Amino acid sequence: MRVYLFVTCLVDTFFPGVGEGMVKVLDRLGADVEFPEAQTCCGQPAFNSGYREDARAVAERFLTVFGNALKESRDEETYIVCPSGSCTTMLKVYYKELLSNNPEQLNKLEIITKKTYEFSEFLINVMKTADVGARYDGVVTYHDSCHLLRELGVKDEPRRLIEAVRGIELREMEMHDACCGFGGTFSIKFPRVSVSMLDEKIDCIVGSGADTVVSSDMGCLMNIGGALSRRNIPVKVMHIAELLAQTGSERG
Amino acid sequence: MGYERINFEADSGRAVDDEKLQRALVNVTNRFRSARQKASSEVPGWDELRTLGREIKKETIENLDRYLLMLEENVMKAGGQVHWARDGEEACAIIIEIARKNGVKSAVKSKSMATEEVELNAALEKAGIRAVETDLGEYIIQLAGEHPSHIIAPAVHKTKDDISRLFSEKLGIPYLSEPEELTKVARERMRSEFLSAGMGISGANFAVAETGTIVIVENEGNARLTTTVPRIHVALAGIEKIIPRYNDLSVFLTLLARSATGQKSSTYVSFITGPRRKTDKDGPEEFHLVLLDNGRSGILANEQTRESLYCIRCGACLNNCPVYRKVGGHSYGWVYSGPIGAIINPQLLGIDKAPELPFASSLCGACRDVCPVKIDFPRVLLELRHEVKESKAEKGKGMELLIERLSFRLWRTIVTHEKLYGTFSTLMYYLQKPFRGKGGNLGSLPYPFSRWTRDRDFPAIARTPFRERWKKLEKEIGQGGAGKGIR
Amino acid sequence: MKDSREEILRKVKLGLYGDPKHKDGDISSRDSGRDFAKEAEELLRDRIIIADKLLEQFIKELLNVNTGVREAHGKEELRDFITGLVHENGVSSFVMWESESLNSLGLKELLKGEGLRQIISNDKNEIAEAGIGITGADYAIADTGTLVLLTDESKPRSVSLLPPIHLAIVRKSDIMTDISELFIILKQRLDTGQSVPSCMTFVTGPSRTADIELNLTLGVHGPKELHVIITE
Repeated sequence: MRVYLFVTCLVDTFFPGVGEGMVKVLDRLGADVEFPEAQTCCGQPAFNSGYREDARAVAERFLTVFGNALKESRDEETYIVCPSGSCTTMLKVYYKELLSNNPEQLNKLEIITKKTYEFSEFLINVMKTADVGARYDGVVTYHDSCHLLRELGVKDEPRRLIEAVRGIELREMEMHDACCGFGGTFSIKFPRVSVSMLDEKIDCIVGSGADTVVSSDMGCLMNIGGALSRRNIPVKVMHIAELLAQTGSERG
Repeated sequence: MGYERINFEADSGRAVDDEKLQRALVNVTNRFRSARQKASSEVPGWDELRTLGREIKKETIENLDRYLLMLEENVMKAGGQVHWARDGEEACAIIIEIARKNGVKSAVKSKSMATEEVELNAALEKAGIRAVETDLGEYIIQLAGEHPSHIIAPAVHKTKDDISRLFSEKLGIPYLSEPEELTKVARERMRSEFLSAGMGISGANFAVAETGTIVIVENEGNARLTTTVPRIHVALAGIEKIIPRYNDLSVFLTLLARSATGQKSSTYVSFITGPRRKTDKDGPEEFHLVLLDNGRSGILANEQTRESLYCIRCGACLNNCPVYRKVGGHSYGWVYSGPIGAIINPQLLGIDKAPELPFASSLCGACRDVCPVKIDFPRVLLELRHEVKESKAEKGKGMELLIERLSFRLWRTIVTHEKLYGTFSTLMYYLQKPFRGKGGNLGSLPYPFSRWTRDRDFPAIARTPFRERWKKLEKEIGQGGAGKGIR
Repeated sequence: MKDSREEILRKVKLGLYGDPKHKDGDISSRDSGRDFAKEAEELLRDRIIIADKLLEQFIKELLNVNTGVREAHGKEELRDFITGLVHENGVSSFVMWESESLNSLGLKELLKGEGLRQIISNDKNEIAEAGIGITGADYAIADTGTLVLLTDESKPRSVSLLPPIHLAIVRKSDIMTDISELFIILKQRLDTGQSVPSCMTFVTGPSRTADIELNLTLGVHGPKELHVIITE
C-alpha cells in the first residue's frame, strides 16, 4: 500500500510534528509513505474568502501535483491522506463547486477524490486498524472539528483510535461538537465573536478535566492552543497524528 | 424606527460584551436546541422527512409561477381577494388602502416576519392607523420600540426585569415581577384591542395552492383572535410560502413545530380558506391575501442560492448556530438573523447593503444539520462570499479591500510555485523573530494579524518545515525504519 | 396593482426559465411526477398505533400539554364530569356548539338545570363573557394530543377561543394515529367534492407563551384551561 501525504500548508509551515506523526504511524502499519514535494496549499483560504479565481489556480495546481503522484504509483492500493478534515473537505466537497465549469479538471478531480482520505478515517476505514500501537499516559478530550464531523461525517473514527491507545483515558467535553470559533479568515474578520466562541470552548475543555486536548485539524488547534497559551492554562494541545505516534518513551 | 444600516462587526462586538444578553442567549439557544433534539429524535425517519420537505419545496419553487396562479385562483374561489406587492412600500400601501376603504382606525397584528420586513407598523402609524402587536413577545418589542431578535422568540434579549420595568413605565402600572402577572396584564389590555379592532393582520406560515388555504402556526391564540374577531383579515405572505397540496402539510407541520420549539405540535394551527361563509356564525367578512415579492424573484433567478427560498422560518438554525449564540439577532442588522439572516438579508436587501453577512459565519455547518428543509448553508454562504468579491458591494472599504485582493494574489503566486513557497516561509521564519514571545509563540503581530493576537497567541513558523524534515524521515522509514523497536 | 401582478409573474418566470413569456400551462418538463403525498404517508406510516394503544397515547399526550382529560363511560359519568368541572371553576355561563352530536348528549339542559346561563348570541363581546366554551372535535390526533375543529354554521370558531375555559367532548372513534392519517381523510373529503371549511383549527393544549425568559405561562390569549372528555 502506498500513501501520498498531503500534509497541508499549515502543518508544513507551522506544525511539522504532525506530518512526522503521520509518517511514523503509517510506516509502523507498513504503508509505503511518500511526500510529493511540489505540494503547497489546497486553496481553501481564498475559496472561503470569495476569491475563487485565485483558489482555482491553486486547486488546479494541486490536482496536477497529486494527479502526477498517483500516476507514478504502480501500487494498486494507492491513497492520498491528509491530517485535516477541513482541507480534505475542500478537496472532496468544494473542488466540485470551484471547478464546475471545467470538465477536464473535474475528471482529474474524480480520480483524486476517490483516493483521498482524512487521516483518522483512513486508519479505521481503509487500514482497518484502531490500535496503532501507541501509548499515552494522560486524560484526553476530543474536539470535533466542524468540517470533519459535518462535511465528511467522521465522528467515531478518531474516538476509536484514541480509545485504543494504551494508558489513555478519553473524557468527552460538553459541547464537543461546537465550533471553536476559528473558521479561517472569520477569526480575523470578526475576532471578538471568534474569541467569544473560543472562550466557551476553552471552558468546556477545562471543564472536562483532561490534561490534553486532541483534534483532527490544526486550524482548530492553533486557535484553541493560542488561547490556552495566552491564558497559561496547562492543557496540552495535540493533533491526533501526534498522539498516535506516541510510544510512551517520549517523556524519557 | 427603521433599519438604518447593517454593521455586523460593530454590533456583534457590542453584543459579546453585553453580559445580560449573553445569559439570555445561552438560555434560549440551550433550551430550544435540546427541545428540538429530543422532538426530532422521536420521529422515525426524521432525516428522510427532512429530505422530503426539501424536495417538495424544491419542486414548488421551481414551479412557482404555476403555483402562484393556482393559489390566486383558489383564494378567489373561496371568496378571498388577492393582491400582489412588488416591494415593501407597495405591500404597505395595499394594506393601508384596504383599511381606509373600510374606515379602519385600529388593527391588531399577529406575529409576522413579513410585516416586520416591510415595516408595516411604521407605515400604518404614518397613515393614522393604530397597529397593536398581539404576540406577547412582539408586544414587548413594540412597547420598547425595538426590533425582534429571534424569528420565533422576538423578545428573547429582554430579561424579566426589563419587561417588568417596561410594562410599569409604558402602561402606567406597578412593577410586577411574575411572568404570570405580566402575561395577565397583556391579556387584558389586548382583549379589548381585539374586540374593538377593525382589522386583523397576520402573516402566513404556509399558503396551500391547491385549496387557497393559508396556515398560521402559533402558541398563544393571538393569531386565532386576529383572524377571527375583526371584520377584516389581511394576510401578508412572501411568494415563497407556497405549498402545492393540502397533504403536504403533514410533512411541513411535523417538521416545523419540532424544529422550532421542540413541541410535537404547536398549540394552535389555523387553516384559513377565504372569509367566513354565509352560514358561518363568526369569522371575518373579508379576507385579503397580499403576496409579497420584495426581492424574492431575484433570489429565484440565482440557481446557486435559490434554495434560500425553501426556508420555513423555524429558527432552528439560529438556536444551533455558535455565532448567533454569541451575537444575538440584532447584530444581523435586519429582520432575519442567524444563518438564515446571513443568507437572505443580503439577497433581499441587495448584496451591497449587507456584504459582511455572508462572512459572519465560521462555516461550521451546524445549521444545515438541523434545517428541516436541509438548506446547504455553508455552500450558499460561500457562493455569496464569491458574489460579494465579484461585485462592487464592498467599494466603501477602499484601501483595505485592495490590500486584501493583492494579498490573495500574492499568496496565489507563492503557493503555485513551490520554490517561492519554500523561500517565502524561510523568509517569514526570520521576519517573525522580533514577535516571538513565551513558549516560542507570537504574542503580538501587526495588523491584520493583531486581530488574532489581541486575545490569542499565534504559532511560530517552524525552523524546519515538514518538507525539510521529510528529507531525513524518508531515509529512516521503510522496512521498519522509523518504526523500529516500537512494536 | 394589476401591473404588479404581471411584473412579479414576469420576474418569477424570468428567474426560473430565463424567459419572461414562458407559457403558463407548460409544465411538462418541470414536474418530477412524484407523488409526495404518498411518500409522506409511507414515511409517517411507521407510526400507526394499534387501536387499543391509540386512546392511551392520546391521553398521555394531552397530559403532556397541560390538558385535563377524563374518559366517560356512559352518559351518567359524562354528566358528572361536566357538572363537576363547572362547579369547581365557579362557572356561571356557557357557550356551546350547536352540532348534532353535542346536542344529542343533552348538555344544554343539564347545565341550565345546574343554574348556568347559556349565551346564544353571535356577538363576540358576549361570547367572550361566557365562563366556558363547549365544543366537540371533528377529529383528534393521538400522536400529538391534538383536537381538530372544523368550522361550519353550527360550530363557530369563537367558542373554543374566547372563553377562559375550553371543554371539548371527543368521541373515541374520531381519534386517529397521526397527522398524516388525518390529511388522508381530509384529502378524501376534498376529492369527493366537499369544500374546505373556512377555518380548520388544531388545538393542542391551552394557550401558552414562553416569551418572558422562556417561562411557560398559560392562557395568554386563548383559553387558560383545556379539558377533554372522551366518550364512547
